[in-house]
Amino acid sequence: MSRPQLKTDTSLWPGVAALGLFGVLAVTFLGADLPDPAGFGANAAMMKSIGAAMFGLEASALVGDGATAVDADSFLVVFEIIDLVLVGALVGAIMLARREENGENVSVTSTTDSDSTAVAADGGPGGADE
Amino acid sequence: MIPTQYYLLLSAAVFCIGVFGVLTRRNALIFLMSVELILNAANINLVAFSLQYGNLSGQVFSLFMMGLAAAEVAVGLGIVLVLYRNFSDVDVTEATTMRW
Repeated sequence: MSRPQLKTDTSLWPGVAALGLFGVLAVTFLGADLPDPAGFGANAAMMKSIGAAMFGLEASALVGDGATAVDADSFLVVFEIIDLVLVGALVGAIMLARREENGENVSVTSTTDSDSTAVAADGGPGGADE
Repeated sequence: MIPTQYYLLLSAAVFCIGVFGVLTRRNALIFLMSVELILNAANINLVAFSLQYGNLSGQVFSLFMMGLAAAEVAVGLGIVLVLYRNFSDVDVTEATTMRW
């Protein structure tokens, strides 16, 4: 039989723990006494306000007539830090994914050490047809 | 307007699905997806309380969280690649050589 089957030979405790955690959180949240959401108002210029907050600008200076700016803190420093973190993560990911043989990088197109087993995509020299 | 409690309930559900995945799955890629679910549960909370207080800081903060999650996935996928190269598998319980 090849249809999917429920795996029953593993421990059920992680599932019970996750469900229990959800139960506790649900009871806590639904019992919480929060006032009605303040909201942003119908004329709020959300996108411009978010842009202003990201670059540390004054939102009211960007928003035109007929729309209201929404309060937010300045996130310019955070923006710069995230920039550095992203560059670090990019470099780190490349360093981790890089493959080395004898201290040299192995690129996708290189054929070092594997000439005898290389198979050309078109079945040409070195291909399986030969 | 939808009460904030229901956003919190959704967030708790997403968080618990992520916790369940982290606790039960052994595939490193699904592990990463579960961590992503946990992070996004936090994002839902930030946006919900942004609406609750009428202040945009929570929404801007959730944008930065998404950027941070992208960085985390980049490094995580690099680690998964190394895991596969060294153990010919992406099972997280296989990699026990760094235990002491």
